[in-house]
Amino acid sequence: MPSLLSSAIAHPARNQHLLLLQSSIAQTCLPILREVVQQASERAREMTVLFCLLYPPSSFVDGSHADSNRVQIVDRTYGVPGYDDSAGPSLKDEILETVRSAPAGPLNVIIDSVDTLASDLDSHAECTRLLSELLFIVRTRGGPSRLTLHVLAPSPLLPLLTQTRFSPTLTHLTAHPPALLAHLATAYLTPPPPLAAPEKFWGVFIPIAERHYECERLVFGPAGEGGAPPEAAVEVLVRGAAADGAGRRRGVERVLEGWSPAAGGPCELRELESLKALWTKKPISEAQGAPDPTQNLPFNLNLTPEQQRSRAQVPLPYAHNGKPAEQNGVPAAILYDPDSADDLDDDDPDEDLDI
Amino acid sequence: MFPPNGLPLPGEVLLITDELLAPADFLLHRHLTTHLKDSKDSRCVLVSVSEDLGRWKAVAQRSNMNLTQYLDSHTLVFIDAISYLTLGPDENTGTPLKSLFQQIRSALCFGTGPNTTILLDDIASFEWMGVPVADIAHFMRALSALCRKSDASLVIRHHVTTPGEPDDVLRHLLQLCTYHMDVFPLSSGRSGSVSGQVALHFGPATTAPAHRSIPRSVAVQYRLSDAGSVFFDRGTGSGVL
Repeated sequence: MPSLLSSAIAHPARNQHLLLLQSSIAQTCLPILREVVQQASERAREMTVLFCLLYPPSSFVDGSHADSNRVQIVDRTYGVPGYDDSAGPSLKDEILETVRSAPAGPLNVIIDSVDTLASDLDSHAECTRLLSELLFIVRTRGGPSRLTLHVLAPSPLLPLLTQTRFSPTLTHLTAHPPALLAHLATAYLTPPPPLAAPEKFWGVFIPIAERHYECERLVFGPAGEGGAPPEAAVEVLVRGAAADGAGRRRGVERVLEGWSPAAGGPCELRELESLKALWTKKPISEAQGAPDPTQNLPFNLNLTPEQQRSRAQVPLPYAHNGKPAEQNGVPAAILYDPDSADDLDDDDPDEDLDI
Repeated sequence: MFPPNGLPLPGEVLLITDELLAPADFLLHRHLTTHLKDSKDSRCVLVSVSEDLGRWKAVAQRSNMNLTQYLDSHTLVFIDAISYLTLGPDENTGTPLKSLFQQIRSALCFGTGPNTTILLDDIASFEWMGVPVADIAHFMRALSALCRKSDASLVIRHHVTTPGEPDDVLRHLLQLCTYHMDVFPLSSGRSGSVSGQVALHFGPATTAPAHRSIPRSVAVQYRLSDAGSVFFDRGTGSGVL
């Protein structure tokens, strides 16, 4: 089965115009965003506009990609409200202007931190309005154009962006620490699919994953490692009319895959180093019936063949073989000798009854 | 060898967090002395919030380092953060930390050396003094952007008061840092031979880190002495072997 994660990163399907990447402080999604940027910049005839508001541009593009004329990087990390003395266009105007003036053709707009955008605009409503407008521009460009947003959970913008009112189609990638899956397997006895039934797993996983303090406690708490490992478990949610080869509509599809830099990016969960223990656990073997008490004794309970033969010849005292005793030729009869007190009379006593 | 050399490199941000039972003063002093002794062109801008200059001088003296001569030659610039803080109900302050930021910027521009480091000790005190978290976040963003532009390395110390539950300032700091050095106490309590443990993590935006990460399960332990600090792997301390 092709990896949903790699197809979500690489080739946006038609009508999938919004890609939402969700990180938390327990696990970051930035390596995936980096991969999205790099793959988008390599596709010919597509223009990529990257807005860096929080993270430096060097986190997403290295030198070779930065020179490409298919990538336009807008570095607004210096534009901190209150600390930026340069008089330039406002953030909102600059973003809209840059996107509108991008060359014709398919367009990828990537914003590295939506929370920073909301904080700089000082209004969630303004931010959502701006993002709606960007999505509208991207959608009118058509083709594989896509708006990619990175959010840090918990964020008040997240519920607004995942609503169908904002965008009917959505690809939502959420990075979870592998410690969460290990915790579910040990504390809740629910390992990830295919080790457990998907319905059971999702019923346990989704509420816990939404409680961000639980994931943070798993990573930063007393039993945690203090920081996220480079590999992640990625929850991929695809909503909308993403037609596959046969043209069938898919409603909402949700899978859990892995991301490992050692494995070159998207991989299966079983390939994650931190989760290997879940797959190699041996099933508990059933007990081999009741233990045999005649094994491992210091004395001998067995019989030699001579002993068995003489044992078989012992007549059993009370066993009835089922055969009647030998016939003497005399039929069974009762012999009775009456004494002086008996009054034996052979007549029928009821002879003179007249009823 | 811990701490590794070249941490942080110019343009990078190192976040050092510590707890009440395991303070990270020794790491800051070590970084200061190592950096100043490194080469003649090294410069350091020391922004101190809670400690005054006398204590820095006294601790540096233990390592046979006279900070006064560095101060005189402007290799070391000391900025007392409190004096640049604009807080208070009677002042119409939009950004309480702006004048501090401008002071740091002018200290950086004055005599730019190729190897400059900024030491900020510490950021949690701003929150305790009443500076809103949003302002601290803006200050941090501006400061890290300034360091990137001036090719200076930035070391920030943050006190963690709720171990296991990151506070709002720490959330912002974790997004900005390239490396996170986590100083935490032994889980079994105080010990004479081990003062605490140090772990090293990467920030989210770190690509191709030059050092290996050290998670908490294999954290390096340290012991403080009069001469400085000694690092060793767990189970190899002098009290054990």
